[in-house]
Amino acid sequence: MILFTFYHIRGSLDSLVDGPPMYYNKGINRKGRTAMRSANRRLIFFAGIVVLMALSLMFAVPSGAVTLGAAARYQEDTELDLGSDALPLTEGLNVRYTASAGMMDAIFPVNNISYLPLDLTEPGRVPLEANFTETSYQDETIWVEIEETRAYDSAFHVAYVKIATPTQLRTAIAGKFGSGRTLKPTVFSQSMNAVVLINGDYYTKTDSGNGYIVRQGEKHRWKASNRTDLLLIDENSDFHIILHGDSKSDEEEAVDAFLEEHELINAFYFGPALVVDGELQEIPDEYLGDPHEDNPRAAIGQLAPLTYVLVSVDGRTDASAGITVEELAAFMKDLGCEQAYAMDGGNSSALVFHNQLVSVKDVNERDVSDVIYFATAIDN
Amino acid sequence: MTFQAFGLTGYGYGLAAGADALAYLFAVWFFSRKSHMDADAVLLYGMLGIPLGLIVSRIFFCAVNVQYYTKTIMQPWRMLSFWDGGYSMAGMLAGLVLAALIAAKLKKLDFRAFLDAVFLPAGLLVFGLRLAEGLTELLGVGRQVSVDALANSMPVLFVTETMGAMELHRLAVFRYEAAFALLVFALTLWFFRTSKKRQSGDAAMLFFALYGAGQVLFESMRDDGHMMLGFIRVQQVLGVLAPLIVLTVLCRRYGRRHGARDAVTAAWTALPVMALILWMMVAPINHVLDLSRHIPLGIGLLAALCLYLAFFLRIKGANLRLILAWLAALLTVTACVLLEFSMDGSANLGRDYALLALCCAVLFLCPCALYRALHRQEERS
Repeated sequence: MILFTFYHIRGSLDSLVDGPPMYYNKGINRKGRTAMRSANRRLIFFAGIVVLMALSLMFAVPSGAVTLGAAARYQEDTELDLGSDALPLTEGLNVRYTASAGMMDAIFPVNNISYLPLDLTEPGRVPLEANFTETSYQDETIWVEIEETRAYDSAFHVAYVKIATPTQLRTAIAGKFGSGRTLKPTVFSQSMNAVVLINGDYYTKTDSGNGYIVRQGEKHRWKASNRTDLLLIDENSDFHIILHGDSKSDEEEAVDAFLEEHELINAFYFGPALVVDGELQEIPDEYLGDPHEDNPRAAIGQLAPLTYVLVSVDGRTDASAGITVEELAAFMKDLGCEQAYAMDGGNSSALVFHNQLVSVKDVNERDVSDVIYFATAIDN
Repeated sequence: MTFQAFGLTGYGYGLAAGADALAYLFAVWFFSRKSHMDADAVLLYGMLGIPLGLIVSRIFFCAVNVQYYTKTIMQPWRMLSFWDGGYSMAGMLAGLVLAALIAAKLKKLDFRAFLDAVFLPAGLLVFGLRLAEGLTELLGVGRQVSVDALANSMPVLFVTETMGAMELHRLAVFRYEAAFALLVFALTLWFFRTSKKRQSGDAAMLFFALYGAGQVLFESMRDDGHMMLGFIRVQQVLGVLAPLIVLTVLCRRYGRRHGARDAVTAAWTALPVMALILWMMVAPINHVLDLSRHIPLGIGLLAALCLYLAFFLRIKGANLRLILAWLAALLTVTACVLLEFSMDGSANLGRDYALLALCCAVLFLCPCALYRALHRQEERS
């Protein structure tokens, strides 16, 4: 095969340079042979151009997808008005304890707790296996209790969480920003050493669309919207909900005001806001995700500093029909949430405790792009 | 993977693509000699094909991601920054068809015969480009699967990634696609060499039908978010269209021979669509394919299709074989849609992928069966 190919290459190169073999040239006069040689030279010239064009692809085509570096550069170049006093997001966590610090001592009277790193790819510390019961986990830095209840003809799974340091409320994404990767929530839980975990907003999957998407201080997208409420989590892991306004600039101004006082660790773009400063919110008719239909739902709420509640509602099954967002809001309010925010519902809704899926679905566990999880801070 | 050359940053993917393009052009020249095509035509095709493949591929990518450029980053001029990446394989193939058309016109060659010559080794081109995706760390990676034993014994089938405290195995879809592209090449070559009754353009049609049907399966396996419009995988939709377009061409050929009217055949294709709409109105297939909450919309769609059917069936000349071919193809497409929507949250991913592979095979066999029938009749006559 190699000899065969070589024979053809050599034969064709000979004919390109010298014209066709002599037996072809019999009967062709000198003028004809000169014309053939000229044609062959032209062929070689064009072949050279084709080779150059092909080789230039090595500098022009970095990937079939937009490279992660280019995507990050585009985001940086996006016209933003973060306010003159905006804090840089990438310079690490600068924890300024306010109310949370006092609460922490009251709840967990332990000394020398070392904080978990802010790094998005860094997992939490390994929880103590012996401290897990079927519905709870407790060590010196975290307390989790799972409760099941029924309301609105649906099954609710509620996880109450208290943590000792703000760094124990963490987020994770499957792969890198823009990689489009997804993972099962239980796999997230195992790989990030989560004690308890709930699905996120799913907006880390794509580069397109609006939203302020920040995870563990890493900014993925920074685009205001006039349709979606925002959940911002600050350096104390306190929740701040920004309701969408009539124009995009309303949301931008609210985010700027937040950044003047806080450092932004996590930002979510789904919603709607369910409870804000203890007030039950009215759900807009046109909000995304069919808010008035019965569906599986997921939500996260803050009860007090470093005290949270995660809720997952089963749906689309005979045992549990699912609920509307208004019903979810009322439930979160009844739990005593100061702030509460809906995450991606439907098949994405998932509550995982001790690496097991707690919520029940009509389909198998769905892969999601991002999660919120709570980890222990003990040095195990 | 990057490197420095001549003071510029070079990319492993681009280098592989360039080398692959040269190898492909060599193969085009090698195989086209039998068709009495001169090297001039192949070089002209190369000179047109490389830039057009790049440009059309980029246009396809930008068309799908227009919202990203115009709304998310608000920098529409970045669509011109092709050096930052962002291409579509389907667009590249469309660019090559365009290049073949222009080259054939300029060299006064039969376009369809030229298309056969240039798409005969196109499987080799796709093979190289798919393998090169492995150098990007972004593309061609599939869902995460828990198959540690299989991953240890056959690591080539999987890509290993670190996530927090764990090593995860994902399907190495780009390798499966590369292997499939070789199969496409082998089948096209076999057809080209052995089919005595084939007409010009048939080998190219075989390539597109087979490649398109394969894309339906492989795009479903991917988890790289590439070329997606919301939850719709654009390359998968284009993949479905390829065998359907080939079927349309063959139907026209068959219809001309038998005097069957295309319009009547097309009208019957509404039947499986109507069945699907009815199904979604009565028993939702899942929360996406659910018309039970939008009954008036379902009734409206059905009424429109009834009008369409009634209008066309007034004309006589329907052909049973064509109706059956279309029914089989569209039912298979319907099955593909249902399977695709059930992949998310599937209890048995292996089984569902096997079923989807079967559907893809049927989708490819629909035009093949018609082609075979057509040629049998030609042989008889």
